Amino acid sequence: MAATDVPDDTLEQPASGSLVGAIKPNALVHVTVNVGDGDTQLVLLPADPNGRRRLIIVDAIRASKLEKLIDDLDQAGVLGVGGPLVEIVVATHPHTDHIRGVPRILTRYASSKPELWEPGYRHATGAYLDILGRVARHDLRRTVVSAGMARFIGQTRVAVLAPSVSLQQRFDSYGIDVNNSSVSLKLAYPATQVVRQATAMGVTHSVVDYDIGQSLILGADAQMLSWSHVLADFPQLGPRSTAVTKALRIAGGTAPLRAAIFKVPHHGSKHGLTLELIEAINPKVSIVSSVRGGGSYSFPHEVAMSQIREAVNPRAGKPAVPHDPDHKLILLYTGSTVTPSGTPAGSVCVICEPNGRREMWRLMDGASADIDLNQARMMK
Amino acid sequence: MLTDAVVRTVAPICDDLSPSRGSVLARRAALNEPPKGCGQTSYEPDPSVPRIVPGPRAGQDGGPLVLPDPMFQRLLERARTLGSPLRWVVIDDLYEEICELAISPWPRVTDGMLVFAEEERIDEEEVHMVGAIDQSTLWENARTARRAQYEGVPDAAELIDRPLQVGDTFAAALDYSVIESDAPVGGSRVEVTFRDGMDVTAEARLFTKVQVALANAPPLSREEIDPGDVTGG
Repeated sequence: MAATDVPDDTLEQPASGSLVGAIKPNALVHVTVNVGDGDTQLVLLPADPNGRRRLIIVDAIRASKLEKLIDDLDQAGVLGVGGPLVEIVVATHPHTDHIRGVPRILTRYASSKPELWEPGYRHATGAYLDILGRVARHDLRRTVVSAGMARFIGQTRVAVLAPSVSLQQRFDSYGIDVNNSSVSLKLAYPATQVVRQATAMGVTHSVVDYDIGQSLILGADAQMLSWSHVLADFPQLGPRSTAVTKALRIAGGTAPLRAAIFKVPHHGSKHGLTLELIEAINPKVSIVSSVRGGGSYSFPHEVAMSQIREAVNPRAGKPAVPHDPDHKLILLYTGSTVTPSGTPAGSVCVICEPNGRREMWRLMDGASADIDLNQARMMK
Repeated sequence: MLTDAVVRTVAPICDDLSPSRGSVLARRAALNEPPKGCGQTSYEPDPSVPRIVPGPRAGQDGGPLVLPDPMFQRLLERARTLGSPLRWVVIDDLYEEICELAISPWPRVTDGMLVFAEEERIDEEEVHMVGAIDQSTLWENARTARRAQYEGVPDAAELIDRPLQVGDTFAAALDYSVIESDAPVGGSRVEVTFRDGMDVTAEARLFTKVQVALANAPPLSREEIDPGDVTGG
């Protein structure tokens, strides 16, 4: 299917500096870069007390486009003083449409000593072997990650949902599809449930027993075998009203797969989703990286998109009533164009604030064009 | 005994199940026993087989990877004649009728590691390309290449007719025709025609292991591991 178009009147008009101005220091920013049939994602973590942001790069097929975006954000002052600080580079799995630009990224940001996260699936492609070469040459840390691992960086929790340990053990024995080796992540911001408050009695620290902030699940190219492990490894507990679930909610959450923002796995492949998975995630924003026109594999597949629509806007019981249009369901495709102009809607930028507020922006870039931040348009 | 279906999906570490023209085949034929590998609870090394396997090596003057196989020299000559530089071609994905290929230049060897894209190149990311080829066409190309390689070797038919799988690697002289000139993947998405090639899957698997190990930790010297007993059982 072709990516669904975006009506022009659902976007604010561009204004110079408006996107940069919208990124507050305490905001976490996620960009799904429009690179066509591939993946390139950038996460700007909230600024540290010195005003400096750390970056996480999740895959890079088109390194030059990503570098230009980072340079522009740096020049606009979004990254703080001292230049880009890349904390983690995630090579989700060794398919070339995800990692082709990663060797160059590792070279470019070697001075900030990024840690390479990857699933440990050995592949003989030149791009994968070049990644390993860069790790050795620049003395970088390489971490083979698996489900359950979590890294806390400032107020952000970066957790690994997949691959499961048992799948990882199969890489070298019975083998699995490369897509199912994918590193799928869940980012939660803020990472704490503790609030500090100055009162007449002094400073108090309290625990918030409801979900605050927002989470992102970045699905890479994981397919159902991998998601089946995720569903088993991260069970949703309920009902949510009992004393036990309340206690668990404070401890670590009863809905570990719930996430407001869902980077849809595998470019919307029919093999990457089930209704139950999407219902467990319960996304408010779903983002599909896909080329306009379907590309080689006709991504996104209609059957997969229908499941997202049904999960967020149930109609199975009322088949005569159509689903709301994708832009109202906030089901976004990097390959979309704006109607009626036909210009690309392009990359998707989500700005997440710790109070749960978020803004979605379209960066209006074609797949092979650079991003001009001044052309960005906020979604109404 | 593993079934054929399982064998096809076995990943690189199981050397004894990998196609190879070298020591594994010779050993298997000599011992007249089924391959050892995954699922075996014990493994008794054959004392007649050297236990240090050479990793990637450049030619005498350094630089490009050289494979110690007469077929490779013949392929180099042929590529030169055809005007098609040798490429490192890996099956990246198999999906329905399409075979997606990861195409890189023929690597150089530096400190035991394969280097495909030199870091100094501005267009470094353009070095790795994505190509598409019809699966049945690649299958025929692979069989032709393997037939020349394996003729006369025990188990030749098994090696020649081995189904394509993700990770299979070829040294190949290719022709490209651009099918999407402004495709976001690789600058251009290309349709590939094999002009000549050889199956280097076994070597690629070994070199990948070496590369992973060197990314994990620096190499040891031979003296450090066992100065008195590093070559035999």
